[in-house]
Amino acid sequence: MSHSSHFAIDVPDSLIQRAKRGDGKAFEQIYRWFERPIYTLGLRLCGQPSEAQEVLQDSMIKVMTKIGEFKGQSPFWGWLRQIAVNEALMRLRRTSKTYGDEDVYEMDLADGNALLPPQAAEAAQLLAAMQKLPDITRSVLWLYHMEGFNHEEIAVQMGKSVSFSKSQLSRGTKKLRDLLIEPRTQG
Amino acid sequence: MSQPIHISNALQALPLEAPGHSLWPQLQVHVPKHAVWPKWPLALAASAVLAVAILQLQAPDLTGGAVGGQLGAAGNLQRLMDRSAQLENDFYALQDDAQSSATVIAANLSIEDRLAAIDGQLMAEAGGADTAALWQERIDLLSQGVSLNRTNAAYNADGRHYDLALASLN
Repeated sequence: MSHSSHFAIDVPDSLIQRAKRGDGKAFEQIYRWFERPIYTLGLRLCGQPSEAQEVLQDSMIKVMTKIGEFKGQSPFWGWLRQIAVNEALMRLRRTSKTYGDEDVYEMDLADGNALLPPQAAEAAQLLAAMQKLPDITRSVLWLYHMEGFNHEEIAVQMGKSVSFSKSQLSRGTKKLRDLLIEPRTQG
Repeated sequence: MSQPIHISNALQALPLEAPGHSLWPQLQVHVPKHAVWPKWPLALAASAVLAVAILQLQAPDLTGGAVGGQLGAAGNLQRLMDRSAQLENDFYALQDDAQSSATVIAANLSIEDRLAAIDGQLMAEAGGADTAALWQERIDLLSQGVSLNRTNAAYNADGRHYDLALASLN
């Protein structure tokens, strides 16, 4: 799993133990560290600031109520990120009209081109193009490339097949490429 | 800016986003007042209520075909995952909080928590010997969730109110 994730913050064990004892200052520190990674994840997956804010709020409430279940066998940030991913995907399931679609195209599976045109280096253009992708496609792209999950892990989390994840990744990359090349004519 | 760029590099170069204002003032009321430990007794009680409800639901098979056991040891992982995906879509599509009793909503949340726990195990397992068993467990749990919500929907269609707490006493 890639550690390029914004979540990859080493949280001291002493801070986690303080939080487990109900220390408000410890939770506040955890919130400060993970506010932006959780919000950004929520925004990329769900698409709207209001939804990202709800993902942040609900994730942090879960962290506070479930921190006693964190056993320390894996990094704390990975445990917290999983909560945030679950919250974002749960919201997507309930709001996305296309979440139930399971279409997989063999042509998608054969397209392994992961290069984007130079316009992708411009954040504003890339974000505008990303925003035009279907929520579920954008989510697969983000979970795979940004959070470093593999297709099996994405399939598990989304309740989809591995082929679906691969197909969405390929189709999303192609669509992104098209949107960046012709931003005014695509939609 | 004339060279193609790998999508991973392009996404990783995007800046972090921040909410319009800090949520901490409204979140701090949720800080637990005491030390936080796993709530096993509560979880077990919730599971017991759910188990009773599930036993009641098993008489008429409402899941559209029993799955447990049919796939067997020789069944492949992809079939299990496909079945799980199908059931998961049904599970969420059938939920209607506006037409559900508090106990049905609580049972759905309990199922979601248990699904998350299984998913955590699957992530840790990553292709290990127990992977198929975990997927089967996920399917069984989702089948129970689908049954629960189909029954709830059937009650609602008849103008009746389905309450697990009452049903478990009958």
